[in-house]
Amino acid sequence: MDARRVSESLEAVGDPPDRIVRCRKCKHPIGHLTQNWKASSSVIRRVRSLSEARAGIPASDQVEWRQWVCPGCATLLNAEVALKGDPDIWDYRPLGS
Amino acid sequence: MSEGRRQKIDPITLEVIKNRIKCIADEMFLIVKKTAASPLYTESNDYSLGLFDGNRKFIQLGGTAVFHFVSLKSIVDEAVNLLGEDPGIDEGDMIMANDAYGAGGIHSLDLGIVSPVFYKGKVVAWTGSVAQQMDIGGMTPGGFNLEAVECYQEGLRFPPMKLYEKGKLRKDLWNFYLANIRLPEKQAIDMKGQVSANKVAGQRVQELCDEFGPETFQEACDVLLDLTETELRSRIRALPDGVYESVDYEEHDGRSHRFLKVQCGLTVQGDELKFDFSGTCPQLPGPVNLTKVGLSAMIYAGLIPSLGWGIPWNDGVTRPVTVTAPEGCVVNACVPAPVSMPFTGFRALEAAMRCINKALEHSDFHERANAAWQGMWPIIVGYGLDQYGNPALIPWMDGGIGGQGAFPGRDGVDNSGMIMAMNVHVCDVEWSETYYPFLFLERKVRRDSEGAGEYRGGAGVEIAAMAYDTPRLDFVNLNTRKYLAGYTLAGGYPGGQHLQLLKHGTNVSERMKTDLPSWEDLPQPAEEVGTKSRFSLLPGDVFYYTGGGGSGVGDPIDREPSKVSEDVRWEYVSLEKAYDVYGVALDPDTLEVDLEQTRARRDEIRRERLASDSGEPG
Repeated sequence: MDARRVSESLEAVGDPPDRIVRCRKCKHPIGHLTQNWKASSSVIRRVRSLSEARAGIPASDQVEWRQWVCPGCATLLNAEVALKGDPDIWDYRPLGS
Repeated sequence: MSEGRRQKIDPITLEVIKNRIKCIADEMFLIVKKTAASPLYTESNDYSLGLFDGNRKFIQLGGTAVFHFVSLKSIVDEAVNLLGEDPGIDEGDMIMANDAYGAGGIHSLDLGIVSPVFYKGKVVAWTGSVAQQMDIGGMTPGGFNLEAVECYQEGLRFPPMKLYEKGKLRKDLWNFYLANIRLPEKQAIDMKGQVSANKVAGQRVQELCDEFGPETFQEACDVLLDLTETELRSRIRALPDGVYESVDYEEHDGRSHRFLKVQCGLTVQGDELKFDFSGTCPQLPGPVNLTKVGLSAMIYAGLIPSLGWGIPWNDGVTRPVTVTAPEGCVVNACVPAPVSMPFTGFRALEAAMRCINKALEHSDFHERANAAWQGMWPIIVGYGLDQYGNPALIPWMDGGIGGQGAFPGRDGVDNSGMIMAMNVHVCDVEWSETYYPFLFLERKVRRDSEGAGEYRGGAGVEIAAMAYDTPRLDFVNLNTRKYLAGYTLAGGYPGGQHLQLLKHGTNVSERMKTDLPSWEDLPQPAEEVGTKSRFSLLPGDVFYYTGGGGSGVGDPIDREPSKVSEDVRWEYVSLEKAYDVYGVALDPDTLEVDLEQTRARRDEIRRERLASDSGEPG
């Protein structure tokens, strides 16, 4: 299948409109390109305190650090810092989806 | 693109004129640097110059505070709009403006002076500069007013006005301006430097027209604009069509801590880019708003370095780009919203950068994708008496020493700057101690401030300093990125953020007789300095500041262990973080990598990740 890069950690395979997003390292399927793959049940989503990334700096309880992990190889696929309650950012949406 | 134009200019003449234009802008830059009095220019390069063609198209930037190019453009266009018919534009005019709402920079401290260039009775070009002023009057020395609820409280605001009329200084305006600012002697010299740069640049353009003719000069400008546009469109076409989304927040409105939402959607379609800031919070009665001019300035400040490698940075970059924001939102504020500290602009810049770099990551240009830099330039302005007993106004620029974001394939630069102002410098410690009543205890790389990743972000700085040989210094402190952090790529970690602390009543002056203590050596308790606040330094007080690191790219446990060892050796990363985050076990004495323990630790990290799932999507 012709894989097209989505990011440094993800690629998309298959024909539109059913392109699948998968881990570039182990090829584990993660989600669909036409949906926000971060909401997929095929990816591990972790929420941490930002103080884990930045020792010695006070953290706010309104802020969370979200990570997405490949369930196949445990590689960190993506991360974002967000306010609690904010939706996960949809990094890329094909036109028309 | 110029329609139906047949190019007559030959490539060699084009190249010669292109380089001549660049040299003119470079010469303008040096004139200001060498003739000004304020350290903002002589040491920090916080100004930009520009050349425009006869159609008022921006053709060359001098200096690299990239966001100033939009400011200059707005001043030239508004000068013609407002003064073109009455009283008219004449040879020898120098027009000044600093109105962020129409003709100026991102705030009123950015003062522009532009001038038409005439050749045989016709305008063939414009020259200009925008420079951050030391003071612009108003309630607070240095022009950053925490308490402002209206723009009228933020110092002088000029629409385009003729400082020179037909070659003659207008003494009424000159005297009025100098009477209303706190450093008239220094700032008068600075402005004369800006005027001189315009005059010399005008002469150089006239010489160029003597040599090649004004028609050839204009044709060269047209071709350069088209070339930039063509190449940029080609790069945009390489980005996958789609919508890239980003959200960021400013953390403080000038008086209190609150999260102010800045939302950006970038639509890439064909060879065009559309930035849309719908969903951004409304403007507010606090000085952190940004105007429409400022928003464009910030977008191009991120876009040009990201997509404009190797091409002339001119008006051609604007042709495929649209920027929209709801009127009355915090990044398209209307009068009378105050704008002296437009920190929402930094958020707009970073939100746009995230979108652009997600698009790059997705494309054949993925090696150019860049994680977030330190996220802003903290502003700390001091005032009081200097060590010589003279009134002092001190723009302390050291906050700009932050880390660059990493790229796929390479680490970010340590102790870099900020992408919107790449050539703006920080003064040497020795210079600062000579000219300001400061004593530095330390200024060094802050260990563990980098955003971890397979490719790590650049490290930020940590500084400890005190007021020296002065009874007191008062400061306005403008900071952000204390609670939130910049975007990362492919699972990288965010860089360390900004923190400011004070210790009172130390005995550093006594201890200096035998050694110079570090911040950690001082036993006094540290108190936090508010994100946007005022504080004072009395004898014995020490101020500590840590600047942000750049964000990382990729999984830290994919980082080459030998690189982690080097990071520890050079004190960018601690032994503890090497183990905890990067999963690399090092001999504490030799810093040699223990491969077996490293393998075990990284496996342990993977197991922890697979076992965790706090699952509900947001």
